Amino acid sequence: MTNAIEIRELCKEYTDFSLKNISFDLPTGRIMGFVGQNGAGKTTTVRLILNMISRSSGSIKLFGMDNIQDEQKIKQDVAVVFDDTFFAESWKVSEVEKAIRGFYSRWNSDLYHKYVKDFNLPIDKRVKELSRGMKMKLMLAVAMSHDAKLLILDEPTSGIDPVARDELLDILRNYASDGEKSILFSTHITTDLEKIADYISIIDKGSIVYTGTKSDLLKQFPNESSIDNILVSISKRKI
Amino acid sequence: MNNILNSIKLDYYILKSSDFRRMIIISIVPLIAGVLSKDPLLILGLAMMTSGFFMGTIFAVIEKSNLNKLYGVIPVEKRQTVIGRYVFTLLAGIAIAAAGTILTLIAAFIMNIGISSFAFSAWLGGSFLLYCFLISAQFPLYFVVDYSKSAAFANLPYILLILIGVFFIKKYPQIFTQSVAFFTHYPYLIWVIGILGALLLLGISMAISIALYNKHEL
Repeated sequence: MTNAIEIRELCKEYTDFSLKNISFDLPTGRIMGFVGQNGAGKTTTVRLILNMISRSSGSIKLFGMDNIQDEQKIKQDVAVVFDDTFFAESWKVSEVEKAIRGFYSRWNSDLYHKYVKDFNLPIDKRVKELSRGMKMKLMLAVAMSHDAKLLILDEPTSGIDPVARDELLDILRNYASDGEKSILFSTHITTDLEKIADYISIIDKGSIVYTGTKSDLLKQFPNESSIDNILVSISKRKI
Repeated sequence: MNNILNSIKLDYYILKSSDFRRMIIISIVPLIAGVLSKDPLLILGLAMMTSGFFMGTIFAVIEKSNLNKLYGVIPVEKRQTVIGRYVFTLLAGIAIAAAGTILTLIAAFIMNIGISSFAFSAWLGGSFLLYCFLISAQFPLYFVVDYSKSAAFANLPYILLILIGVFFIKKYPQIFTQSVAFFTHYPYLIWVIGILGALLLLGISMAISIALYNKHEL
């Protein structure tokens, strides 16, 4: 089985926080929940994967390629959804596409407009006029319009209502249904993952404390009924 | 090359999304100043100067809208982003110079004021050089420090340039008169210095920006 993401011994040093020897694999065609409390190091890991920040040591491979040396090639196949939009607030939904489609060799305008329609996004509304749920859907529409093989979501559900969260999970299920697309879903809301994740990686205070299948995780903690309870149990053990 | 063109297009959409009222004010102020002072060439000079300051707005929008994250997501090299921004700014400068020239000539025609080719060359060459100086001084700082934190410092080189200019003209007035006499004899040199000087400044500034931005964490 090939891996969409391979991270080995990844470290990042800050004055007040360190990411320590992070290692995990995301197999192709699978959905991984990347779980941890706020400040555990999830966003730092995502930013390192995207080469937005420089690593202190370790290696990151996406589709078997180094994330720094082959950054441009890799990013053609990677789509990202953050907790808040990264489009100019005054752009209309239609302008978002015009501004960024040129960067992607496999951008599909028809697909973008189909998603905009399916997600009920008003094409002439400005980004700043959209609700949080709509902003998230706009990022998803952009993310899924260039045939990306890997979708990375960093806390996409924080601040959005349960209905929009359920809609997101349906969209993700459809997206990954062909078995070729992989999803790394970073969140502290573990109920989202119970429904869709195949694999779970748990990060706590900058270290990975578990990585493997969701079913193995639940077997290791037979007395815990949910991932949320497992997280609590793990943090109590560490204390 | 393709990604540099894409970066130029992205910068156009970023600038387009900025405060439109400010853009209108910036367009009108030079016109009013030129008409009131009965000096049409002031329209050209002020348009280039205010535009030089206004181009930094791209960085203000990037900061306000979290666009640094966008630059971390899209497949574009940092070097291509920097080159694209400088080329976009240069093209904008040429467009503003052309528009300023047309407005200046229309104002001169309406006010029935003659403009010598020497005065026109000096203003156009000088103001284009000033525009490029403003860009060159501001952009390297904006690429690595948030606009809101660096805008005040980014204008320091411009203030310094004015102070040094005023000092030299007052202290050594003969240099100014000699310069005018020199360029009157060799008017084509105004164009050569204006264009080559502007490109040299932009080139040096761009190299510094690439070096700084490559090490900058998004």
